[in-house]
Amino acid sequence: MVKKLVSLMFVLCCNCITAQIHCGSVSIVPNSSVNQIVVFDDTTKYIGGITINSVTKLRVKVEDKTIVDPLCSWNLKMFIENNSGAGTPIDEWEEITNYGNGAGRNPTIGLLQVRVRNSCSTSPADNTFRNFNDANDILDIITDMLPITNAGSCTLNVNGPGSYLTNYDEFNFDIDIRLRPGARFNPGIYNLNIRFRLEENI
Amino acid sequence: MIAGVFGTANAQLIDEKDVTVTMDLQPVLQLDMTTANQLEFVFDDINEYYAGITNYAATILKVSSTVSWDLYAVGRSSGSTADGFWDQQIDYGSDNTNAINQLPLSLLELRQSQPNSGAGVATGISDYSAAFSPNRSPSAGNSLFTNPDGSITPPTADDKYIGGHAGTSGVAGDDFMPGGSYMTQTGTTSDYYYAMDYRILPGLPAIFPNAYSADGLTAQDIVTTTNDAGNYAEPGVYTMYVQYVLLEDQ
Repeated sequence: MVKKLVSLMFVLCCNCITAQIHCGSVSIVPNSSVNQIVVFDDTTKYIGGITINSVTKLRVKVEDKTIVDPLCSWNLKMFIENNSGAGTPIDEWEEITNYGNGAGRNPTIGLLQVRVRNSCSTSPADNTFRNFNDANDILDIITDMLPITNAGSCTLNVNGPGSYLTNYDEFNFDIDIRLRPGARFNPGIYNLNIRFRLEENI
Repeated sequence: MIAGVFGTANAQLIDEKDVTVTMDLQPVLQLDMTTANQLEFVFDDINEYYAGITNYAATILKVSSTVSWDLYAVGRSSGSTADGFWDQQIDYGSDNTNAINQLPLSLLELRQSQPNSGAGVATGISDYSAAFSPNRSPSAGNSLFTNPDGSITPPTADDKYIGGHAGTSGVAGDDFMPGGSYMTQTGTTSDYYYAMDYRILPGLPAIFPNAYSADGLTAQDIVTTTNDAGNYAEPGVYTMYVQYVLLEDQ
């Protein structure tokens, strides 16, 4: 009897620690990291900038639990990281190395522009280049805590369960970046990391 | 009760993906120059000796730079006659003892269309923006910068630059021009666009009264240099070249 009680408690504990709130699973496929190198080596690139379309694709998959919870929905956000823990100013790119004397200051985070798009224009910011002002900025792709818009509607803010496998135009996001430094910043090599976070809404 | 306790510990499902952007900003210093391959100054009329010959806007300089920059001109030759002097290709006449074949490189005068706005620390004549002087008023204002040894060494704080100046104070307007490009400038003037005029004024006798040392303090006309009032430039064909140097602020 005691043995059964202990087993029951163990099962309850395990279930609770790994349990979801409303959804069965959320995932970005694949979620491996990408490193994009952008080289500016002539005046035209400095003035005109460089745009890289589809630097990555975010393929979203959100599944219901076995017993469907009608409150399952999700949000998608962008964060920016510049290794500020190592002393990088909050509004600048992380400096890897500098060339020469430089023109004054290291590039600012606002220099990086990010655009999100999919065929159904599900994000309110669809097809619009936006930028971060500093490392504390968060940009929404699909805002959290919105009313649930079911997959298949091909409209704004689709955030119900679904998958890029069945509703590609709503659950796939192409990510474009654009950099147009002009002649304002120190020559050198710099890093920024964009983190995309997919969460179920609680 | 156990279920109630553990029920509050539900985990929110999250997944993440990272995109790291590495930006390589390589320094670009680009000087676009439009000019004739060779500028000829042919003095075959007495008026040309008196009034000199001017070639207006014979060279157009256009700057694009991603770093703070300095731009200067330096007179050079092969040194076949002597370092710091024009190369004599041929001489006319009978080699009169008063005919001097050593013509200082600084006899060439330049005038830039746009004043140097990055020369706050200059201690001498900062640029070539002064109007060419009248032929009866010798002036160091436009004489070309040269090094005594004919080298490419940059001018000092006492000498002339076209844009920027000697030193690395980091103070805007003092000794550098900020990064930028003539392609993004608007209006009728630009710190990234210069039209260069050239003048040679021999005078009569032909002693080149506007030749001066780099700091503009010492006359280098033929009479002063040779200390013989009867000397003059030997007739002949002479050549030299002007080297325009664009470099990161230094």
